[in-house]
Amino acid sequence: MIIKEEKIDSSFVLSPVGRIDANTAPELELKLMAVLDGGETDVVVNFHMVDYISSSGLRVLLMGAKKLDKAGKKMKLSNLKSQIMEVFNIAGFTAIFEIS
Amino acid sequence: MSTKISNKELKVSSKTENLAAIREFVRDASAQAGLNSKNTDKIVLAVDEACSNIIKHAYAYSANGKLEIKVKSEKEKISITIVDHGSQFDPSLIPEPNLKQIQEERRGGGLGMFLMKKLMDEVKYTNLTKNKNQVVLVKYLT
Repeated sequence: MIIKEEKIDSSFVLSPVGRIDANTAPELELKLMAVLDGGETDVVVNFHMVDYISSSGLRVLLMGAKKLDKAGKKMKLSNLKSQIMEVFNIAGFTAIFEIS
Repeated sequence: MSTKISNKELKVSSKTENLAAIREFVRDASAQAGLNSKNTDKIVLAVDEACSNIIKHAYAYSANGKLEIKVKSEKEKISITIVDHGSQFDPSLIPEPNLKQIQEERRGGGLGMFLMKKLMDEVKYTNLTKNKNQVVLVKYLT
């Protein structure tokens, strides 16, 4: 899976491309954990190029949220398409993240 | 909405790389059965979760196993039956998914099962024989 990385002002933005399932989620996990372990606390996952997410992807985001919790921060998610937002709604995950 | 009964079947090896093909198969079958895109999305995700669980737990990520996915569409419901030959699965050992606990633990264990039950009207696991397990997912079309 292609995951673009950008530093925009104080934010570190990760932009995965494609579908986040049990096959691709481990790559997102590696990248996200490396960013968080590197000390970034203003982390945005940009969903602009994501068409699908399963619980494997939600689990990775949950792990990221837990790490940021310790720094008193919320993980930010942006540009969620309606079908992705629907999965967050069904899972009851919307309050865990700052969604824009 | 189609009123004919139709059956479609896909057999794949137990690799996470095959999840995309499984989703495409289920998406096509649902669309052909006349389901709207919202219900199709739900069924596709539920089947993905069921197959991901089988690959992870029944086959412990071994790619040597097989998954058989059958989609049966009828006038009033669509049923997806998934058969594997991995480790026996006793659903009674899995606690009822508890979203609050899943979120508080922030690990997400049990999240797949939670989603399957939310997305479908019925989720039923059966151990057919010692090394043959079946899960049936049903969505009623009202």
